[in-house]
Amino acid sequence: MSSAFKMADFSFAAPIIFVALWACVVLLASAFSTKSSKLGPLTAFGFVIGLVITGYFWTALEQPRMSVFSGMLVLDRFSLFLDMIFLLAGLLTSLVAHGYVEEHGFAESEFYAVIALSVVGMMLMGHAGDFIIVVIGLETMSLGVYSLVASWTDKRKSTEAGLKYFVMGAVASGFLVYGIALLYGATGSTRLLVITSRAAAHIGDPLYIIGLFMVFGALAFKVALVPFHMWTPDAYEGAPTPITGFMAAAVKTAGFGLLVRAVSTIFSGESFAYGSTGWINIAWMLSMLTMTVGNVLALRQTNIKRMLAYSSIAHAGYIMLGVIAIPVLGLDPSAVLLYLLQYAVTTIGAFGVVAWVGRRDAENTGLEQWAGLGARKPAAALAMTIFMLSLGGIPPTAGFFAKLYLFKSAMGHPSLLILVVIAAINSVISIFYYLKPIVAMYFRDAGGEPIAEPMRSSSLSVAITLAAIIVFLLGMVPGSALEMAIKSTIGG
Amino acid sequence: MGRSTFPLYWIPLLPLLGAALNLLIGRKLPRRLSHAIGCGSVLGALVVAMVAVFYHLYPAWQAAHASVSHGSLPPVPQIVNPLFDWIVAGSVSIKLSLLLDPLSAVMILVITFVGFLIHVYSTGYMSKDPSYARYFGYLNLFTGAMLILVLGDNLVSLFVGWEGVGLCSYLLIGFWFDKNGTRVFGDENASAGKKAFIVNRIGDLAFIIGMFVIFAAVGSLNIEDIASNAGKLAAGYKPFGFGPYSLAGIAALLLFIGATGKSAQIPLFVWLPDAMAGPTPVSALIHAATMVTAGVYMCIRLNFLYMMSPAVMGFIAIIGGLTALFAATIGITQNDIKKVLAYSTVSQLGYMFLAVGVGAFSAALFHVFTHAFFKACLFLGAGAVIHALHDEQDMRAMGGLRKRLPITHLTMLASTLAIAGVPFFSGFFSKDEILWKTFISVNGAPGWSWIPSVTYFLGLAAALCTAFYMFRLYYMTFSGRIRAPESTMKHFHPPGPAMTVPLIVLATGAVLLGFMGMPSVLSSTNAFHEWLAPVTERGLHIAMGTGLLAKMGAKPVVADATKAHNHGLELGLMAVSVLIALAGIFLARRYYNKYTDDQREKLEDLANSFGPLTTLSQHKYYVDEIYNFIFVGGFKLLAGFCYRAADRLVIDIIGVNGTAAVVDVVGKLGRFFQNGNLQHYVAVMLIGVGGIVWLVGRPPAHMKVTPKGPIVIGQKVTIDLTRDNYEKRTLQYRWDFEDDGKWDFPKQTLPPKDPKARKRWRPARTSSPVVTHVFTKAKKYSVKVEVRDPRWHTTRYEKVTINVIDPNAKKKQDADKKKKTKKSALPAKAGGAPHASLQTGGPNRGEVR
Repeated sequence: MSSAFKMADFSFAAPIIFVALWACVVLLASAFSTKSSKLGPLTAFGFVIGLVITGYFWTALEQPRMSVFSGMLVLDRFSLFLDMIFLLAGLLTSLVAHGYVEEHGFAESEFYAVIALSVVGMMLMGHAGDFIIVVIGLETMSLGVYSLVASWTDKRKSTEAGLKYFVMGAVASGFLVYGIALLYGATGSTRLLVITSRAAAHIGDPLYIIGLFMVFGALAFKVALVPFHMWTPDAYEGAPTPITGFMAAAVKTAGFGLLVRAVSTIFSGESFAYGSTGWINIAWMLSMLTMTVGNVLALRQTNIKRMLAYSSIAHAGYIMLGVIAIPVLGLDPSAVLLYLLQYAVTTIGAFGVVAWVGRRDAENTGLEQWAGLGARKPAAALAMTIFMLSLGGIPPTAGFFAKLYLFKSAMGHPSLLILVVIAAINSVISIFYYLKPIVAMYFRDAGGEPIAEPMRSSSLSVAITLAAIIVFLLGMVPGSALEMAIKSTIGG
Repeated sequence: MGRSTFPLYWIPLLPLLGAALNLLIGRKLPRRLSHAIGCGSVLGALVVAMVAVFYHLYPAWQAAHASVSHGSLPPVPQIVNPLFDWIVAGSVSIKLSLLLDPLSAVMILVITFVGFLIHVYSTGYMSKDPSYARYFGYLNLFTGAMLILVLGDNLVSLFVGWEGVGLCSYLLIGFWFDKNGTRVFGDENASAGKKAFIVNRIGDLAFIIGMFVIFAAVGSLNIEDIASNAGKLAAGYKPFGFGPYSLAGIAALLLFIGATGKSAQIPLFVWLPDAMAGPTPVSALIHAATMVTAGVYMCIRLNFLYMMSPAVMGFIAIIGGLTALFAATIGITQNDIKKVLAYSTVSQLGYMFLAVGVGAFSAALFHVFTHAFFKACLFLGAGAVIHALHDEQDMRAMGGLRKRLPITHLTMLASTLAIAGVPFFSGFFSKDEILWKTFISVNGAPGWSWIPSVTYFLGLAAALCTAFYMFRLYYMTFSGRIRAPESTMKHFHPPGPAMTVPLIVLATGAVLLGFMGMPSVLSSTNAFHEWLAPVTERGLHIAMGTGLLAKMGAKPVVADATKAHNHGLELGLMAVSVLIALAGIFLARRYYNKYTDDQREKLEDLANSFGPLTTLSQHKYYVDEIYNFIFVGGFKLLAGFCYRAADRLVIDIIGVNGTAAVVDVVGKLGRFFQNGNLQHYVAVMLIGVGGIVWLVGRPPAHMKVTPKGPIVIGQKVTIDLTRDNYEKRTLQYRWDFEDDGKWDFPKQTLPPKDPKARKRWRPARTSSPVVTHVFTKAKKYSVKVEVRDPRWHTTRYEKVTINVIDPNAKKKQDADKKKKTKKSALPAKAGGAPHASLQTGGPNRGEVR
């Protein structure tokens, strides 16, 4: 464990470094161009290149795990798969945001650069081999997202949401750092693998275990598990719609990515998983609570953004079920990865349609405003239908297959079987509110004047179409994506 | 095996692309472009299919054919086109690929060729229809689905196509759901569509279960896999003490039930006559030439499975023969020209299943092939007549159209001769082959040897009826005087070239195609039979290879070798068939050639002389009414019950109102917490982490008391707090058995007086989670335990109630009662127990305190 690192390490961190540099390019471009109209596609283009680079790394990676920068960063297929989700989410978000920002005319030119920089933070979280990197990545991501949420400065709700999210996020960061301090106190290291290797001496040690749960609580905040979910509806509703999608898709994925890594490192070992101090019981309860509370509260919502916010809480519960199944049944994280991938694309697509339906001075996020959309805008209504069916887990969409695969792989253990049954019941309940927009679009007559008059934006249409196609393909021919997810194992 | 590859996917893909274009943006396209896409995509598929068959499959077939030595099984020439791996995950692997072999080659050529002609015909027939693009979209979708059905190499894609064509059939039957703007008429069309869909669903259920049976036994639904693992289906068992049945037989029967739905056989044929509500070209393509033959195709495709079960084959032969005769007798009395043709189709499909049931698989396909041409031609001809007479379908209002519709007349005459079985027309060869093969077949299932002779006579009787009703149709439509009203004849619509050219092509086929399958008595080679031999002949081989038949004490369904080579017999039977056909034609000519009002009355008298038989036939044997009463009525009863029990009570009262109440309460609770107050949110979060730490830090205390139930005084009681092996924390315990505030175990010492020592003093605790104690009094003890985790500095108190009873209390009472009656036996026993309790209680009390 020498502290020196080689120059070659920079080339292994190329995906992260590239996106960071591209963020600078976008910033520079915004400084030199008077019109911000090209920045969205420019950012999206960067994400496409990033995807290509990451994809190349994914295929070219020879070892199951590489440590770079003397173990600060980890390179394995798991983290590279996560990178691809972040980059895809960034790509779709910047396309959606391009249309949205143009229409509503609010954001400063840094908007897109901040999106790229928060993606850098997420990638750092995914690759983190050391708690220092975890903190840096998490803060880079979070600070970016706080400012994105508050970026619509003319809108009271946006700034309020940004402030709330920031204050609560600060508390969560406090938990994280304090937990890391406790773990460091117990084991004398911040390196994940070192902590793991020394953990055996700390079975039943309150210092270590409280440290673990502090970290767990901070991550539960980021992925919005009940009872750390309180910020979600307010922040999701107040944030500019593309950013809401970005949060639901990318931030959640980053949180779960880190959680999966933690589960397979510092949380690993039966003595930490089971028994009265084990995290499995706690996670089981949180998962059950999260999916139930999310779904039940979503039932009453009439604002689509708020409804999708609660829906994202419910989905966090399902994903948590997958996370628990990994150590209990000794699975690879493929079910969680596939679910995260499809959820990211579906939810950005859904928020994309929500963004698209709004006009300047009229965001049209109320369900009653969507009446008759199916007849007037059949393509967008079809896309929204696909997304809603996918969120509800109805074939032939990605959501169905991912959910099926996740539930099926978790069913091997009796106690998880109970959770799977609860999750299945929850899925049935959730269909009720996922059908509400569909009912509004197709079966409610707007009568007279159409209420919602959607904006015109080619980049938004491209994003929605792309997302719909991906969701449909992942549902119909999930083979290759699943194979990729199965190969994306956590190294070491 | 001669396997090679070719991009077969273009064959179904082209019509599917056409469908996508016409259905998605068709409304905005000009009509010409709509039908150019519609016809062009099918023509493209036809060209690709022809290239695949003639330039790729045929050479492979020739090579395979040349390599056959006498007596060995010809290898199956195949072109395989792997498409993609649908799902590959762990042990589950579903790969999709397309397969072209001699069997699917015949099917794709028929589908694309006849399909193309019908598309062209439709441009004339549907030219005035407002939903032009939608029509071609559905028709293309159908063609694509049908091609997937026949090209799939596994039962899953076969089933996908199977359902796809069912969907298109439904959509096209109900195509005029708003016909003439009258809801009544439109409703009828829509409900005919629904009827077709629902009746098919019944068959599909059996089909799916059949697939499950195969999958459970073989572990794959790929047809080649099933063929090579057919032995796994040879297991036999006795459900409910009946049988024995083999898995192969059960699967074959279930799949055949699926086929009775799709191919309109008894008992599920009722939807097909109603399906005539759709546009006539649709009836020609879907309900005559292609879709309804899917069941026959499936049986031929899985011929090895059917060969494994002679009993099921006998059943199929009976169903086929009965359907052929039954539908033909209905056809005799129908007056709607399309209904006659519909029953005729049901009847001809019956012949095809008869052929399957006697093991004449290539004869079955040959009849599919010729039938596609002459029946499509008949339907299209009928369509031309209907079109000319402004949607008139009643034959009593036709007549005398021979001169007005010369091309239609000639083509329909050719096809009628073909279906009637007049020598050297195509139907003669195919139908006669079926009858011949039926006559010479031997059904080897025990007790089923009567099948061939009975079904032969069913087929022969049906042939008589066929010739009669078809020429009845011909004479009523084309000869005699014109019975259509003047007003109609004034606006007579003669068909244009778009309609007549397909008719001519199809009629040519109906005349000539029979020569491809000449019987051995007339020609040395039977091209059709040889072409199919690799597929159809291996069935017997595979079935014998499994050893199932020997195990069941049966012999396969094969032709009787001595009869098969008896040319005199064959010629004799052929003569019988010809005579039968001529007799039917003669009868029809006698009664229907000059169909006048006089004649009509005479006919009615004649019909009445048959009494109830005529009524039965006219009312289609009341099958619809019977089904309506039993199934629809029964279902409605059940539905009514479910409505009251499930909908009203469970869903409305408990479900909806209950859910609403729960959601309301939860919503209010949610609003209480989710009030937008930041401090509040942070507090919940802190409580969350605090709660987790509290839950984790608290020592576990799950108590297990043995023995369970009431404890008798003096019994040893064990209280166990041991956790599972994962529990790694070190815990300390102390016990208070009497709940008197004093710790009983381990024994406590008083704290020392010296303040320094007092500071370091700790009460005594044990690290063992198991404690044994004997209770001495008959009462409810509340046992208290303190669990402490010294590292976490957390303590937890738990209580458990232990009910201690005195067994002698009741015995004493009993004893007292008994003492009054019998004084002698009891004293010794009654005295023993308290003594024992004293003994055991004594030392224990001392031990604890």
